Amino acid sequence: MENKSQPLTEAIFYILLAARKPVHGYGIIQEAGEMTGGRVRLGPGTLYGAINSLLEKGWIILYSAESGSRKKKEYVITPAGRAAFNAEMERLRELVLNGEKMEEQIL
Amino acid sequence: MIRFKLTFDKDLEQDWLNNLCRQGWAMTGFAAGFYTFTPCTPGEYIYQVDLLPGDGLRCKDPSGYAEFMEETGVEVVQRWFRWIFLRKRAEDGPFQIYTDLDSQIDMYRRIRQMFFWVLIVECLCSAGIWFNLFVYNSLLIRCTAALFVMLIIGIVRVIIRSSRMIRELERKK
Repeated sequence: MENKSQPLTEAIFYILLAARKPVHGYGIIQEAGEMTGGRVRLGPGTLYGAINSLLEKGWIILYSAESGSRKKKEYVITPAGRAAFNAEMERLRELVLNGEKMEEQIL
Repeated sequence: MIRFKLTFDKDLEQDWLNNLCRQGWAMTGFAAGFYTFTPCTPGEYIYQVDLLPGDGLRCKDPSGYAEFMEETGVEVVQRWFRWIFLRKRAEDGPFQIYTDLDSQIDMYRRIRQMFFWVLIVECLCSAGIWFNLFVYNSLLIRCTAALFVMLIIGIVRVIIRSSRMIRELERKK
């Protein structure tokens, strides 16, 4: 469905990151906010849509420790999600490495 | 307090609800254009209106959406077909359901698609009226026809506005 080389949106990036351990929706919003000093604010609708698309792709799955209980739904990353995240990290590293050439030119 | 208002534009509707809340009236229910309000501390809540994913008048997994909202500390005030009215206490910080361009574009696409569907249904329903208008041309039929024309104009305006919003958001990307 999605091209492998396509950059992840910030919402997707932080959901995958937060889901390295089981996490519920509100936890993702908090973690993304804390990690970026409040810069990344994830609206609940944006998060809901992104989580559903990730579930569909199989990048995250529902983590049900106690199924049936009134516990908040938790999500956790899958190997496929980890692979996509790592591919994105590689792309970002390349971006930063190449970006540093900007300074070289001045000297 | 009960108010009647016909709005097709959810952004204007949202502004109206937030305005009334600032004046001390918190919206607590909605059905077919009738809104109910109860007194609140001025500015107690921030309201947001959303259109649920789905097709036509049916929504896809409304309880999953509502559950998710409640879990993130958002109160579901009312669901009416695919429309959903949400609110959060203003003291808990800013409240915006869609915070990135992609999800905002998706929302306006859903709105446009739904109103496009409504427009087709509306046109089909009004076919009999146009026929009667030519045959009988009574006052009642003329009034009904005028009502339909107003509805259709309202719907077309929302479709045009949604398209404009999508274009603007896409340009920002």
